[in-house]
Amino acid sequence: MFSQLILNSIIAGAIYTLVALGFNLIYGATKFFNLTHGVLAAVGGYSVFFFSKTLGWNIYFAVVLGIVFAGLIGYGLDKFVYLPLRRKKASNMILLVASLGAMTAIQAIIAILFTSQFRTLPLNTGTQRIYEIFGGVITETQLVILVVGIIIMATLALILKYSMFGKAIKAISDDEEVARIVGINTDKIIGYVFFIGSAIAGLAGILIGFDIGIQPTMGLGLLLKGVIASIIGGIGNVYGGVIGAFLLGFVENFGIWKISGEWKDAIAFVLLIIFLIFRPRGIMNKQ
Amino acid sequence: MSKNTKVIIGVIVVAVIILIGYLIYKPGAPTTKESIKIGVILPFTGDLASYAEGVRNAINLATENSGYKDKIQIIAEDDHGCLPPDAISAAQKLINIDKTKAIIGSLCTGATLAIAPIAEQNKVIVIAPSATGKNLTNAGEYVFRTIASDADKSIAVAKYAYSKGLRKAALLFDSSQDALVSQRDDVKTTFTGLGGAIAIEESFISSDKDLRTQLNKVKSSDVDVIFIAALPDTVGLALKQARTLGVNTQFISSDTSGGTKPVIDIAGSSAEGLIFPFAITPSNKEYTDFINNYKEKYGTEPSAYAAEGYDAAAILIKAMFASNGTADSIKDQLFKIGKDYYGASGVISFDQNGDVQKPMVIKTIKDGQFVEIQ
Repeated sequence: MFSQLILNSIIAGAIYTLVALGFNLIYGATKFFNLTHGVLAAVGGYSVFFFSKTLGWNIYFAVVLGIVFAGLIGYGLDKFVYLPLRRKKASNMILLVASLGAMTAIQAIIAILFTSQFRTLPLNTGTQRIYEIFGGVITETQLVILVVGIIIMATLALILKYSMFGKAIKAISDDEEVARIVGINTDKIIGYVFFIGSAIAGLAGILIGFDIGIQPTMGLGLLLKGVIASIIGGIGNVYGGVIGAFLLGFVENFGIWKISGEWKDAIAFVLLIIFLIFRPRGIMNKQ
Repeated sequence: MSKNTKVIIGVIVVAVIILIGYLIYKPGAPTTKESIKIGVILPFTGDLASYAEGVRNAINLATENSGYKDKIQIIAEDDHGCLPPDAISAAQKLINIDKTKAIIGSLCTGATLAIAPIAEQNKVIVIAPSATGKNLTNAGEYVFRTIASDADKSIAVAKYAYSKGLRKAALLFDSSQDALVSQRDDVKTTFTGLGGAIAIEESFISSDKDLRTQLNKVKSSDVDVIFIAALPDTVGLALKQARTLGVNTQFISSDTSGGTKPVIDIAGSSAEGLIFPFAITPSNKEYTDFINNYKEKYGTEPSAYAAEGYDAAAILIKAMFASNGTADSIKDQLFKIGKDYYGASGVISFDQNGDVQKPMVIKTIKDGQFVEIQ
């Protein structure tokens, strides 16, 4: 029981990690609350559903296409919506409202194309291989989610620390104006950031689709959990997002150990409020 | 501004004006005196949207098959996932602005209970296609439904479980749906009344998709049977996650949702052995006609509650055309037409509370099929 509870927390944490990673990456560079981030998970999930189930293509190929597609949508949103707004010196509030609009529109389009029905992706309908760890069980898909989360975090951390691209993001994050003055093509870099962040969100949606299932409305709930993870971990900080995600996963699952499960969301938001009051910069961010 | 831009803007403005003009004077919108308006309130967005779509399709189908297609105007409003405040504002809009005399909806008991007092006050008929909560029975004299109340079903499965020697039960239920909470109460009273014990109660809300921790707690309480009261998708997910976690206890759904296609689609082989109550599949011609008609028009199997939605619309249309237009007259006609009425969801006879009784059986899932066991 106890080991299963720990495993459940880790699995939940790994899913939140994937959402928080992309969200933090984009927030770090642009400093605005990108509400479309969650719905891109649904875009990824539904792309795989379309390519693999409707068209019958190879599942691995469909996954790659789904990730790229989610990334491209994110990139397109930046190019056609957020970039023009940024050029007009729109405030972050306006960008937030624009992203809310984009989120609602994309969600509606998915619902029109695929109906609102809850769907499962191919791999999870058959019997999955199950691994036992100290009496608790974890499925193959969940193991993949965990491993993928760790790999992406590590890769992202390496890129941000050592590559020119990462340094450019850091510079933009510190001060976009100065970054532009020293010759960084900030629009281009932010475009790439949107592509990468959105692709990670798409991957998160696909993996959740394999583990649980997909629904056009899945994005908002995911985004909220990702945002909570980002804020408690330290918003804009890649490692912070990961730590926040696992903390959230553990608090949520252990929180309903002694009380009823309907309190899960309430517990998550109480954790958020506690952090907002006592440590608003999150665990990792320095003053 | 260059000349080109001005021309483009000019063209756009003209196009928009023409479009607006077209929409306002759109031909075909029923304006004749004899036309009727039917309001529909369903959760078109949110977690329950797939059922709302099924019911809406069925209502449209009923409109087309009624023979009065051009004289019926359907005005559909969204209650955003059965939220009572949204259902109330939708009802107020339909009653005060559109002046509808009858409303079909909502999907859930909670939202339907919310609009019932407004309908009573304004003398408007409400027909719910899928609200099964037992407290809707006394919601008002203008409130009808085409689906049977939950009470009988929940009591039947609780008795069945006890008769099979199951004594120690877990209750797993969706605390965000009135109907499901009242099912839990019925199961609990019946089961403990017979001498059974409830070892653990675990809840979740409709949007929860990860029930592993709840199932884990149920697992460690070592029960003979798990009663689940949840929406179809969640029943499927719960079964799948339970079997993965090694919970092999007998599941009994207190709701007919256990016998819907999403359960098998989502849970696959994990759905095997699930026990649930179900209204006897009608064997009348109207039922098969409806299924075939629906498939032909929409290309998919009708969702859960679509047949009940079809009947609600079909009976209501008949009653409205037979009436003199007042709510009391429509109500009288509903009682008159809704007597031994052969519909898509079986035989419908409204009792004095506007409720229907439908014969019920206990079924299970065997080899991916729904089979009757009692």
